[in-house]
Amino acid sequence: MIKTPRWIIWASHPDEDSKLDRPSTIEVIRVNEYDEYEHDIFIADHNSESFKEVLMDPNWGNGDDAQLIKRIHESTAEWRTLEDETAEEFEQFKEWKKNNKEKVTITSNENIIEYKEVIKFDLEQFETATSEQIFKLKLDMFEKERVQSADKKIKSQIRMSQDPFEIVSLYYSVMTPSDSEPT
Amino acid sequence: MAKRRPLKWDYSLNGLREWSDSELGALRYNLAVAYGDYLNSGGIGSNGAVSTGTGKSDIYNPGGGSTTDTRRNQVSNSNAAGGSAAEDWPGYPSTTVSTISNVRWQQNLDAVGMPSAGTLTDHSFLYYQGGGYSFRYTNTETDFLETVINDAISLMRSNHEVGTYRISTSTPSNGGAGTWTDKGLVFTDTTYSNGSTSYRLYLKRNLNDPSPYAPSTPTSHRWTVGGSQGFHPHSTAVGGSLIQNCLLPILRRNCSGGGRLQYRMGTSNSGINRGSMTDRRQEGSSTSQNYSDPNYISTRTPSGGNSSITNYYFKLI
Repeated sequence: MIKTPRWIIWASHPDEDSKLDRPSTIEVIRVNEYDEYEHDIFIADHNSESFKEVLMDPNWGNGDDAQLIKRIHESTAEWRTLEDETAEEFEQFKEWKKNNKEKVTITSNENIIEYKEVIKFDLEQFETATSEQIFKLKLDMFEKERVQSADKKIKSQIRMSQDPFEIVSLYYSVMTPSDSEPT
Repeated sequence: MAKRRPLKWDYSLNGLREWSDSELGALRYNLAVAYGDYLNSGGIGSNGAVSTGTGKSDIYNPGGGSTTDTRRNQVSNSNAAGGSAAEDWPGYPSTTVSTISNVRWQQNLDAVGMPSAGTLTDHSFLYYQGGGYSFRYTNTETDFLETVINDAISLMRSNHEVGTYRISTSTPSNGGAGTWTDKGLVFTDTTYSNGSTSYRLYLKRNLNDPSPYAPSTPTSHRWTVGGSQGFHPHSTAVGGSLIQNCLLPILRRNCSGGGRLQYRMGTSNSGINRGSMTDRRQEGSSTSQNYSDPNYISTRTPSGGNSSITNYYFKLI
């Protein structure tokens, strides 16, 4: 028994297809027993059993062409909204990645995102450092060979600390004398 | 079994003459056009028609298979800070592969009955049997095949391609300039970030210049009773009764099988090529590490150029 589709969406452009007198193509999305989406694509041909199935499905066409087309339009809109939401979340994720890696984001009153480069080596900034800035500091340190090869306990202390001065102190503790000599 | 040539009236010699091989070209070509028109009008309900979906004969090899679009995904691992698992960044996961869509392939290879003897007598062409004044209407399947249809199929498969399909990303130009009808989107190959490619099914309907295949349009003559009794011209046009009632039904019942008009979709590159499709993926990847309090996150993202994963070939067997 084939499960009723969860979504049926246009895989081609029905308006354009109609103007060019060519058949449209639909994508039928079913949820399988593992809760995975299965996508089957086929041409909307009234003589095709695949198409007849969805045309006659009581949840879709119920034997009525106009109803099926209306339902496919609705389903396509719903699917596109889900896709847009996913894409938006992904963009937010990419924005978040960018900010945590390189920059601090400041949002203005107009909700326009602006970027400001972090000014390094500023005592006040050390005293009022945010968790993101502390993390950035740790990240820079962990990229250094001396920290990577340091004692596990020191590395753990750096990770756990939320005090930038303590972090710098721990970093200093793994520096060799030659590291601190002026070049 | 023989080639049964239609007869024409030769006005200079005032006698009946048999069509030459080149004159038979008009029937072969018009039959191909008629078959293309027939496929175009009836969708998968037409004998020999190809489409995506199921219900008719599965032409994917091996049976039950499908052309499949796959894509690599971005994947992340994360460790919560503060616990034992947070001692190091988590390792980079491998990108995963998802099946984006499946396309099944079908062809209408339903059995078709032979036109009745009465239909053939009413619409077939006259031929000279030899031996005295013996004339007959062509009426056996073998004679129609030997005279017109086998040669027509051969030209459709390997020469002008009228009445046959191709899969392409744009309107094909094979077999000489002509009209190709777009029969719809059949496959889309997607990638993570390198865009997608759409493949469409096309049906060739005619040639702009059919003269290489139909250099002349001779007239066939049949004996007509009643009214103006005598030999009269008999239409050999695409819409004429000879093609529509005799030749086309016999071509429809002979479209399945090797060397005919049966297609196969699959990964095997044997047979007469009618287009191919490729499932491509970005097999390369880039890595990044991020922190979102309290999580350390290692991410692997598909990147770089496309690699061909699977080639699917659309073939006349």
